[in-house]
Amino acid sequence: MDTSFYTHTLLASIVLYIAACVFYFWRTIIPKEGSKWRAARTILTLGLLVHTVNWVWRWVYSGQPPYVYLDEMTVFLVWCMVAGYLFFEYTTGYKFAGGIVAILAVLGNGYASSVGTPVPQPLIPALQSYWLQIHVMSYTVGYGFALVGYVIALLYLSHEQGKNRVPGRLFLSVSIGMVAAVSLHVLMKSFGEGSTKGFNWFFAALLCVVIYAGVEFLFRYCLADMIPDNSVMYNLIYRCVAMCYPFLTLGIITGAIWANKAWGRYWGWDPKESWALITWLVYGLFLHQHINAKWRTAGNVWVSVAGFWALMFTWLGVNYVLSGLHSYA
Amino acid sequence: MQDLSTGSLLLSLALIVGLSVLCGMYGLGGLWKFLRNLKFAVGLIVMICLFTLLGSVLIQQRPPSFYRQTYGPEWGRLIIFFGLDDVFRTFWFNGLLSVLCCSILSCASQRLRFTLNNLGFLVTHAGLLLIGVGAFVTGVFGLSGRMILNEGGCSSVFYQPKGDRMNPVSLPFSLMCERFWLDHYDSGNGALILYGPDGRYEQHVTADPGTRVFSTVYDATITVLDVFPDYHPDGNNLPATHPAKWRNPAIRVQIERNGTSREKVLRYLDRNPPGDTQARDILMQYSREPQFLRVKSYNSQIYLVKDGKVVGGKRVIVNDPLRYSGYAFYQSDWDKDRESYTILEVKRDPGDEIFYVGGVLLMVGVIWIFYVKPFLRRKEA
Repeated sequence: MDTSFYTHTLLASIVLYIAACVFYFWRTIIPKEGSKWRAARTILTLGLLVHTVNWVWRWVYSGQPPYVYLDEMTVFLVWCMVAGYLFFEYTTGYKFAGGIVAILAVLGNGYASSVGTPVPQPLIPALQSYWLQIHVMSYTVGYGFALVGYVIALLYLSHEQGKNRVPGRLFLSVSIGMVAAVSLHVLMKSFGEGSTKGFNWFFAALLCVVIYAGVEFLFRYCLADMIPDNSVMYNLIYRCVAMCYPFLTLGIITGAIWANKAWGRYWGWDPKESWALITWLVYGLFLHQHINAKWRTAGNVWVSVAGFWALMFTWLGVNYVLSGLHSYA
Repeated sequence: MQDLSTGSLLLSLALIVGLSVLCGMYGLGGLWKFLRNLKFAVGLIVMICLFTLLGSVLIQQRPPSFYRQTYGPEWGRLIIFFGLDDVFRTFWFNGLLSVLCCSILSCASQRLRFTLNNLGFLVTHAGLLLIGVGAFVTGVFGLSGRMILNEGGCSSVFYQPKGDRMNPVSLPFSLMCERFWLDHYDSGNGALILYGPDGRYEQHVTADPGTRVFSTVYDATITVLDVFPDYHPDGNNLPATHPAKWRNPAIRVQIERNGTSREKVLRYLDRNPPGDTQARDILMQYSREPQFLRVKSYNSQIYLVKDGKVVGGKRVIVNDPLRYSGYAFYQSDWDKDRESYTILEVKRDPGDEIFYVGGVLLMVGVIWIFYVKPFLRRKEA
């Protein structure tokens, strides 16, 4: 078996996610109960199966857990997000977020297939520990649930008739636009350095504007009737955060234990640790505000959105913007 | 904790005055009740988040001149005035964390009911408190420092940082370093090394087929296309997967620059001469020397010596420290030039066990609240 198996299965999963995306949006634009919904879910499940095979193969082939480098983490995060979403769809029956989840899956795996190599670099000494597997795996599973929660939170805010509608749609467009811009940039770069010349902030902003127009269209003509009422949506967001929080806790504690074993201290206020704490506290804030029934409002949904941005900054921002002991991650 | 600056002292005083005012308004019992107020807890968490954010964004523990140069004289002065150059060790930040612990304790004491329904809440908050206690014990009773051991050398002294100075601390035993060495991943195809136009080292990557590297100096992307263990210029080459001997290793690379793409073969240790501006080429080299291979492990063979006798020993590597008599020794750093000495992180921490128990309780509690409790509720319903 050679490394082309990895490339082919990853591409196959992308194709299946694109197909699922088409079916989900097809049914979103022409909303009728029936076979297309089932087809969308079946294709998404099939995509997840192929994705699973790809992921397991990489682990077996490389002999090291496939969630160390950014491209591997992205592939695993997409897997967790799709698995988390399907879990929700199968248990609750709501399908309104399927199209957006499928788009994010296509962009995430597309990015990984452009930048990743079939055979990863061997592990540096600091990462040679079984704690790596527990720590990173628990965090990524948590990220997957948080991502689904974030999508639902933005749909909740975008669907609201009050002052949250425009910022909600703006956030939704910028989120998809950012992932799309990064994936597109990487894809163009793979054709050679010169091909990214026309790509700049203006292009990325234009992309976000086009996506905003698409989001407006979807909400005006398609999604409005499909999205359940606010209390149901709020409960779905709460369930996502509630599923994600134990994994974040597990990640932070196992990370501390690992740090104590590798560096001789369980907490050193390294930027990654500080931001992991901020994320944990912001989601903790959301859960504490949920205790009071009067606070189960759009305001608290914004807290969950802030939690997700803190989470993304912990994962990516810290590595690129701030320096620390986690620079290899 | 750091020496209190004026601003840091003012913030600490504000914290104490605030608590005293609350105590005066509500009485001690009233203050205890106030601490469990949800709005107060939310405000406290927001403040801790903001100061943590500030501490992660501002570079910490640098000399005052650094802040004046980096952030300008006014901002630099403010940063130093409020102790934001070392947020996490200021009295006021630790005071906020202590108030949060008190708030948790007050909350937990109010809901001290040992029922299945309440178990998750109690265990989670007990875990958080124990983590706080563990951190306090570590801060007050813990010892940590660094020990430099030459190959073949023996020492019983390590150095603990105290402000700008390093205080020597004696151990009740000695450590001897027999040897320090690096292990490399030996399968490697070698490395592609990039140099700046002046011949100065820029970066290197593993020379595996498909590896891409972007050089900001040359504004070019270099991709490794093939690795040839035994390169023949006539083109009769076998790929690296073939079990050939590494007789005349070479790599074929693709260089993308200014919208053009070309290929080039680099033989082992081939390198364009520095300053070869006429060729307008990128200075790079293919090497299989150990220093360019990926490090697998840093190893220090350490022996423990007490009263002139060897009482133990171990190969200390990252993630596997040596433990003896309440002390732990971690592989931390080494002599990067000649590999002639190793640096070990020394630690004695009586707060470890408390932290571990707290961590386990926190995990169990949170899992109980969000997974077990809803499951039990559904079962009851």
